[in-house]
Amino acid sequence: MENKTASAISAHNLSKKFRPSLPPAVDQLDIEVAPGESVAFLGPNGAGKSTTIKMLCGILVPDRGEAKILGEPAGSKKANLALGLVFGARSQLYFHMTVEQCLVLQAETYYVSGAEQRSRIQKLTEIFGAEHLVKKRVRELSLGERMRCEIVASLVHKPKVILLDEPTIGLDITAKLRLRENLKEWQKNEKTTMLLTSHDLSDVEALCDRCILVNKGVKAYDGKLESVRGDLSGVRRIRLLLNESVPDTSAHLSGLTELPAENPLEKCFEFRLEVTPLPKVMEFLSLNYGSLLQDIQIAGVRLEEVIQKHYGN
Amino acid sequence: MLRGLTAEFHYYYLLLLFRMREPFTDFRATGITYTLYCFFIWLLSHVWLRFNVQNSLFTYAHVFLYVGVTELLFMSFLNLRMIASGSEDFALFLARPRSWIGREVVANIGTALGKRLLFCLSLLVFSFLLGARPDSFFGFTGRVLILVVLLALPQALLATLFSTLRLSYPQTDYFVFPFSKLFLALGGVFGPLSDYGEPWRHIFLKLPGADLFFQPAFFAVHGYFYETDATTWLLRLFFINVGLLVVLLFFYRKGRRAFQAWGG
Repeated sequence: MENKTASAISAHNLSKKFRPSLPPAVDQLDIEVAPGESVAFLGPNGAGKSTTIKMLCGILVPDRGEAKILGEPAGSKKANLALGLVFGARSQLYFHMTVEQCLVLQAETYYVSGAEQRSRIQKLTEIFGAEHLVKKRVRELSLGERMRCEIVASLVHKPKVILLDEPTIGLDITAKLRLRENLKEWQKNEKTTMLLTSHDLSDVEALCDRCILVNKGVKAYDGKLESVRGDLSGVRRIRLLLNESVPDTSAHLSGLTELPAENPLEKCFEFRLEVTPLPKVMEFLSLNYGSLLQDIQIAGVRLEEVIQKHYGN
Repeated sequence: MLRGLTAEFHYYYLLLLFRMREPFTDFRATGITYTLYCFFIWLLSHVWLRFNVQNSLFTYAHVFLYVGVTELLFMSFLNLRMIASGSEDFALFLARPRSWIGREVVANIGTALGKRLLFCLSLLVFSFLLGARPDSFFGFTGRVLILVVLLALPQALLATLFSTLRLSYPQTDYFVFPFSKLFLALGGVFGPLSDYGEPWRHIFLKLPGADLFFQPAFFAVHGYFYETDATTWLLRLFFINVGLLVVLLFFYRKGRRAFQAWGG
């Protein structure tokens, strides 16, 4: 009997090798995702990300180990009923049908019929701003509209676990932001477990609290998204935009390193908050560049760089 | 149990209905295809009569309707795009609570019915415009509709078989075109097998192509089968369906194993 605290997604010792002469695509991977959690599953191309996702939803059979969705073996009917899938690069909708017909068919695929089906479709199309699209044929939709409908189709059976593979691929910034907001709202209300893979790390930052990094088939990191930065979390970069180009000065502040700038009117510096406090840095910059200052930007290290560091590349 | 069966039936019924309606949704764009189809029939009928006028058992109207029915069946026979999209959906269905094979067969039946109904409509309209009226309009239409329904299953099984073969052998794509052309030659789509000389006439009549193209078209035009009866033809059709189903299930299992082992 399954207990109530069973993981939403679990994988133990998951391994897959496609050819004896090649290293394993996935090697003894362990994953636990609790119900309601929102986890990013990241890795460079060829890291074993897609292979793992395919094993989690039953498309691939592992050589060793096991994958489960809500305690049910991956690929079993019970597991599939609890699973929602969104593939940004792969449409689940039928080109010549209306959105409404596609949603009805998708709901029927998951045994959702009658009044429940109608109310689910209505609710979801409202949340995702797709009410005006339901009578349109899929071939008439823009990419952003289609992705909204794809997500509605994936959620129509109220899945407890949803796997999103590059859900915002190809979308413009407005469509991307809207989709993220809708998804976040949905996830918050429905407590759906979400596993997201995306090369767009702004998706990850907007939607996930935890991330799992894989590289060469093994887990490189598993923890809170904010902790993934590790010792880089205290690093800050300052970019100054000046009125005129300034030659290098002999002035120096301990812990403040000058970085190469993109143009002569810029000055870029990097420092660690715990080593050189911000007021001290600001005082130094004001003293040396204050009269020429046009603009100033302060930022932390980008997530892309952090992830790249984990990949060792 | 009954509720479960009703739910299954409802799903497949909706799928069938939606796929049947698909070809009608883009009629404004595809209308030219159906017009050209009738011009093609007219042309083929004249060519056939010109070369076989002494031997043919068919009048112009008969040949026109015969070619119309064989082409109606043939032009919606094996569509590479449908075969490819069927196998591309395979991975998704491994992660869904429904059978891919059931869905593919029903979807292919729906598509075949939708397309063939449109071809049939076009054939009926143009048979009047081009002076090739059937002897009995209602008799001919009724027979064609029955045949369209009966022949949707072998067509769907064959298309699903090709989608399944693609899972193990991606080279299948290159084989579809010559394979369908075999039916063109051996099934009497070029012209009625009854007009062929011996020994080819008897050889071709024994092949499945005759059951899927020549006999149905002959029956549609004349109201009886050529050198056989309805029971024998139905039995042969039944065995063709069973044979296709057995081969389909064999390659489905093989394809599924290969797909789940090597990836999609």
